[in-house]
Amino acid sequence: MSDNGSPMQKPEDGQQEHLNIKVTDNNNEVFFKIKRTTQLSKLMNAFCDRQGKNMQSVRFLFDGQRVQPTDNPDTLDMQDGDTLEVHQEQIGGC
Amino acid sequence: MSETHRDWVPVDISVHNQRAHAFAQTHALVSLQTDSLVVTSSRGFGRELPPTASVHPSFKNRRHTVDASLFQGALQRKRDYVRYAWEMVPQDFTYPIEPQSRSEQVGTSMRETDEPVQRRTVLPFPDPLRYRNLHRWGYVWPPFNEDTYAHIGNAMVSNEDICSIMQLTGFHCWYRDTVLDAALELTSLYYDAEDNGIAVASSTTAQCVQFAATGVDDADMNELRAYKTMFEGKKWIFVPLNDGMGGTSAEEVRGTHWALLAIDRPNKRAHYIDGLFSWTDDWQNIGRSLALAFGNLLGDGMYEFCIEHNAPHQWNHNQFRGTDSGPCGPYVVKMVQEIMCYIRYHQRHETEDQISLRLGSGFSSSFNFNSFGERRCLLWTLAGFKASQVANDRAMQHDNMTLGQPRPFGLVELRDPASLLYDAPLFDENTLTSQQLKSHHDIAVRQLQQQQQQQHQFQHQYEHQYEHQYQYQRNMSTSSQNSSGSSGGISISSEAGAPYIQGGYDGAQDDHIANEVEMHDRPASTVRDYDGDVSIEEVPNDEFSPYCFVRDITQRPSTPDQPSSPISDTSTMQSIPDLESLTDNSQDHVEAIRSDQNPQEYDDRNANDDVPM
Repeated sequence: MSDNGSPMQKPEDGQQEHLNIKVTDNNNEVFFKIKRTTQLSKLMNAFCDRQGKNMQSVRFLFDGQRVQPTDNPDTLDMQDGDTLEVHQEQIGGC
Repeated sequence: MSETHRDWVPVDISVHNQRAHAFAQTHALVSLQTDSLVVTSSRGFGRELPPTASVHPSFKNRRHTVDASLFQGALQRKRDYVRYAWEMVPQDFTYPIEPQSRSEQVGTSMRETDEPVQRRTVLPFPDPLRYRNLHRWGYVWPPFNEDTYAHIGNAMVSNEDICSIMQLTGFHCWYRDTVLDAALELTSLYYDAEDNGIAVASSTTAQCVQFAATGVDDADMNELRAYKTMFEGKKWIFVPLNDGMGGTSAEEVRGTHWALLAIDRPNKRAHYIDGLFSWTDDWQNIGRSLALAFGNLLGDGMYEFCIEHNAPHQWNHNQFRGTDSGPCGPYVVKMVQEIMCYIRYHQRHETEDQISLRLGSGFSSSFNFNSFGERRCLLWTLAGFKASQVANDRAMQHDNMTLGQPRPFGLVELRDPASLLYDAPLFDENTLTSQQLKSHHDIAVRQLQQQQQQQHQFQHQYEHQYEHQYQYQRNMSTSSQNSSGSSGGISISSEAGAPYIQGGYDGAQDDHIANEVEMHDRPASTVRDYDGDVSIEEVPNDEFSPYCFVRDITQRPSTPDQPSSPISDTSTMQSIPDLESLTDNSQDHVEAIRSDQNPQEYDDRNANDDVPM
C-alpha cells in the first residue's frame, strides 16, 4: 500500500500485479480486479453471491477450459482484460 | 547410585537375546499394526526407502523381507474413504513414531556389563496406496457432497455425481453435464481420440460455440479463438446437445434431454442422433444451430444436416429390463463409443475414405445398449481412474521423499505409471449388490432432503431481491417432486425479461470487503484504489449488450409431460435472421433441411453406406 492509498502496482517482468478480468454469462458482465496470485475461488464466490447463484450450478470457463477454484491468474496465464465465461449447469434424462 | 540400584529391575536375558542382531547389517526397520494388519519389514542397513521403480544408475542390491499378518475383521468402509479423500490419519495406516514399541516392551535398565541397547532407525511406513492394485475405490461410496472426486481432462466430477450415476429413478437419475463430460473424456482417452483426428466437445464448450451460429466476425473470433484451435485440426467432432443451452442466469439448472451431433468434416455432414426426439423439429433445430455454429467457427460453411432416423430408440432398444428414468445420457455416451470404435476400425485398416457416419436401417438391432450397464461401467471406470490418479500421485510423492531432489535421471523413463483407464478385473461386478444400492439410495435420499432444506433457506434469503428469478426454481422443484420428467429450459419468460439489478446489496458488499472483495458501480477506469485482492464492477444496464439468442434455442421444445410455454416477453432478445439468409450457401442449406424432412431420400441415397458397427 503506497502512501496515497493506491494499490500496489509493482511491475514484475512487465506484468501488473492486478488484473481486470471480465466475467460474463448470457445476461450480465461483471468486471473484477484481482491479484495474479489470488485463487479464483474468491472471484467465483463473489460472482455467485452477486448474482444469487449456487456455486455448484455454474461452470466457469477460460479459453474453453474449465476453471478450478484453486486456479489463479498466474497458473492460467491470464492477461489483463481476459474474459471468464459462466454457464449454467445442464441436465438431461428423458 | 542408590536410586539407580533401587529402580533397577532384573531383566530376563531372553529379552536381550531377542534384541541381539543376528546379522549386523540387517535389522527391523519398519513395523505397523492396524485393526486388521500387522506388517514388519527388514532390510539392509544404511539405505533409505526404496523408490517405486528402478533407477539409473542402479542402487546396490538390497535384501527385503516383509511379513504381513491379517487379523480378523476388515477395514471399515468409512475409514477407507476418510483415508482416501480427506487425507486425515485414522488409526490404521498411521505412521508409527516408534514402530518397535509394540513388540519390544523392554525397559531401559540393564546390567552394567550388558551391551548398550542400540536404538534402531525409525522410518515412516511406506504408503501402500502408491500401488494401484491396493486401492479399493470400486468398493467405496464417497460422501454425498459437492467435493471434487476426480479431474478427467477438462471435466471435473464431484462426489455427488458419483453417487448419482447409479440412480435409476428420482431426481438424481438424470445425467448432469459434469457426468456426461467425464464419460466423454474417458471415451476420448480410451480411443486416443486426440491423436486420431477426433474431438469431443464438452457440454459447456457447446454452449460457448453456439453463439457462432449467427456468424463470426473479428470481435467474435477473439472470443472463440480458443475453441477454433481446439477443433480446427480434427476430422470428426462429437457435440453433446441439450435443450438447456443458451439459457440465462435466472435459471439454476436447465435442460431435459441429451442428444448428439456428430460432425463429419471430410464429408461436410453433421449427423443429428437422438434417441427420443429425432422426429421433432424443435429438437432438430438445436442440432442445426450447433452445426451452423461449428461450420462458421471452422470456416467449413454449411454442413449437410442429416437427421438419423435409423438411430436406436433409447427406450425400445434399451436391453436393461428394469426401470431407468434417465437413459439419454448413457445413450449419448454409448453412441459416441460406437462411432469412435467404427472410425478407429477404418483408421487401423487405412480406409478412412470409406467412413460415413450415416446409421443404416440395421444399426438398431446391433446396437448393444444397456443403460444400467453403461452407468455401472462409467462408475467403475471413474473409480479405476481415481485409483490410478491417487496411486500415481502417491508414488511420485514417495519417490520424491526417498530420492530427494534433484531426482536421479532415468526414473521418469523407467517408471511405468498406473493406467488411467478402465481395468475390469480390478472391480468385481458383485461390488454393487442390490443391498448396497438400497442403503446408498437411503443415504442419498436423506442427504437430498437436507440439501433441499438448505436450498429452501437459501431461497428464502434472497426471496425479496430475486423473487422473479426464483419463481422458476420453485416451479422446477414442484415438477421434480411429481416426477413429471420436466425440468428447466422451458420457463424462460422470466429470465428473458429479468431486469438487471443494481444496488441493494449493501450487506453483500460488506461480506465482499471482509473477503478482500469489493464491488463498484463505476466504469473500470474509475475504480477507486483499495488494498484488497479483488474488486468488482458492474456494467450499467444501458451499456450492456446481451448476447444474441439463437432462434431455435428460444423456441425450446416441449417435453412429453409439459407443453411448451409461450415466451411472454421476448423484447430483450435480438431477433435472429432466418437460417436461410445467413450465408451465401443458403440455398444448399434449404435443400439440406428439406431433404431431412424426407428421410427416405437419404436412406435411398445412402443405402450402401450402412455403418458396419
